[in-house]
Amino acid sequence: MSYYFGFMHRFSSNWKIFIQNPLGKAGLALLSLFALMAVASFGLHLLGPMYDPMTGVDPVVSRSVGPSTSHWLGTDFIGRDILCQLLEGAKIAFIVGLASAFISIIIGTVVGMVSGYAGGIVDILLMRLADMVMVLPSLVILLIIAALFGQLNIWMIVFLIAILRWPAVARVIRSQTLSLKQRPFIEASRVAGASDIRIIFKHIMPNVLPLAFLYMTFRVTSAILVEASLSFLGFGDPGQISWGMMLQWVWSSGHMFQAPYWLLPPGICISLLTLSFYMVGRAMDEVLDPRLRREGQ
Amino acid sequence: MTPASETAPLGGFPAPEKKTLPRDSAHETVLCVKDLKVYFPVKKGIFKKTVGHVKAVDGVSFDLFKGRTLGLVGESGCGKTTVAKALVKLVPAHQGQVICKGRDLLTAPAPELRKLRKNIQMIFQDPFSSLDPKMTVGNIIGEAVKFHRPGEDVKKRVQDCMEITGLRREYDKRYPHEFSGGQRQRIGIARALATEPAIVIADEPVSALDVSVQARVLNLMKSLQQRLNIAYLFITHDLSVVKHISHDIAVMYLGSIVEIFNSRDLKSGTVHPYTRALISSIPLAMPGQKRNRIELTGEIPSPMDAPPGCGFQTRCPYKITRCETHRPLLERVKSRHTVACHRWKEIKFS
Repeated sequence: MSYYFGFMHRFSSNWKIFIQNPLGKAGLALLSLFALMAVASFGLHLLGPMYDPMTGVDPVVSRSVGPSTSHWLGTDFIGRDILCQLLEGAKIAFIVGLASAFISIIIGTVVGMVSGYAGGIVDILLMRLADMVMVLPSLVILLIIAALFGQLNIWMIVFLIAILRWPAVARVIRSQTLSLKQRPFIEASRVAGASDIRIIFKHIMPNVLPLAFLYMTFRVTSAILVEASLSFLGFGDPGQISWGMMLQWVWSSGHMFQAPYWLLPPGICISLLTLSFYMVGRAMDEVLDPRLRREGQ
Repeated sequence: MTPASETAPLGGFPAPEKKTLPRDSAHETVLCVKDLKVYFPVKKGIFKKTVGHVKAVDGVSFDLFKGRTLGLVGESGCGKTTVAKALVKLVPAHQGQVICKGRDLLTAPAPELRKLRKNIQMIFQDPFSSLDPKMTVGNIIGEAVKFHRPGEDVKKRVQDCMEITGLRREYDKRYPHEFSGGQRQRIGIARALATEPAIVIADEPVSALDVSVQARVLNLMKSLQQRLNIAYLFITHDLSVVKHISHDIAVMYLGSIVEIFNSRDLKSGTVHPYTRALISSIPLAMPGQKRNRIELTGEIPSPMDAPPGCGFQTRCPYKITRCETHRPLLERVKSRHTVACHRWKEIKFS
């Protein structure tokens, strides 16, 4: 029971710091909006087959038209509803962003902890590997892989982004591990007879996880951007609608300067969603690092 | 916080032994340290070539006896903490033997070492950084129990340990940050006692605490020793503390022990010039009382290139040429009193 109280107490005091930050407030509000959009996309089939973002075509419209009462944001070049595509895109953006960020922090955290804790040759090898992956241009690599293997499916894209984006996390976790492993409580558990594996996963991991989650928010931002770029260039998963793909359709069907109602929403959504994750990350940063807090907080 | 009653019989712990052994009788040796050396390599250049060694601990030998406390004193940087860390293998020893239950801890293979760790536990200096902030007190204390006493009711054992250290049983679900410094050090003591060790190494256990709390923690350690018959190696730089808790006192200087004596001899029975100077620096409790403080001049040699011969030669007022070439070995002065000095018989202290 008091465990629960301790947890709740810490949660509520951290929450206060988070929500007092204007960035945190704005970021969270924006993020909730996009989350609502993503959730709404699951209800699209209730509107009838016409509003299916991929296959639903308005029987009376066969070209791109502007906003109307039946299509609030207009339609694309074959008469599909843009708002529906936008909602579907929000879902995909969340899936891509969160899933690939999650995979990359898992890889990054494990590599960082092992590297920092083991030291010596293991540390050198892992960190040089991290350096090598870090300097690879993710988008170019993804383009090459897409060109070599044909169209990539969305989970493949998620996985590849994660594989290419773990080194920054590993670096941060490693440096935190280096500092943690010198603390007396690690020595104490070694005296108690704890093995290295136990020390890494029982003592070091709980202490680096907040940092890993902070970095997850920044990884989400970059994953969404990479996926959008890939789709815009025409190498996205053709079976999934994403905001990048909507932009690609605008461009390839020649509506770049004719249909602002079609061009702007996905562009704005990409910017705002990445911005909101960034703002949430910055506010979390303040919770984790008291030095960033303003006086009197 | 309500301190646990000191006399109440407790589950899981043996009742205090009524029969007290006469002083100076032979006690059972529980830990025997022989010629312990800890050298840290000094590396330089891009190829990390070893250019020398810092001789942090250079030939330390002592015995710990069941139910007795050996106080290890010395100034900052003399290697006290390194001795403690070498005994529990937190730093690798260069040479020597640490014999516990007939086994040398320094050469024991890893699986056996993990079993031997049950016998030798440690209390750390800083009660704030020595407890994992993300673990409950119950898990912190229970960690060693899980390794060394499998099959036992961990929760009950943890709560018993908390109770004898004066913590409330129901605090085991709390986190370290919810406790004060003194309470945290009690958690540290409970953790050290959880495996029923024969030996507890206490590395400056009270120096991070308020003076008022210090006394209470020291008395707790004392009463636990009487009840559980533990041997303490009590490391401190505070001579008034060591007088209070120790049966024997070992004085360290520049990586080696210069004198081991019974704490009754602290006032006037010591013979090493450094011990004398150290004792003369203890502040007196009564204002106006006069004390003959021995001022030492000279510098402590760097432990990286310590001179041959006696480590204290650069500051010793009684130095002779023999001190520069021959390292003094520990000689017996009387029962339970040894000293490492060439001239201890000749020097007459006023």
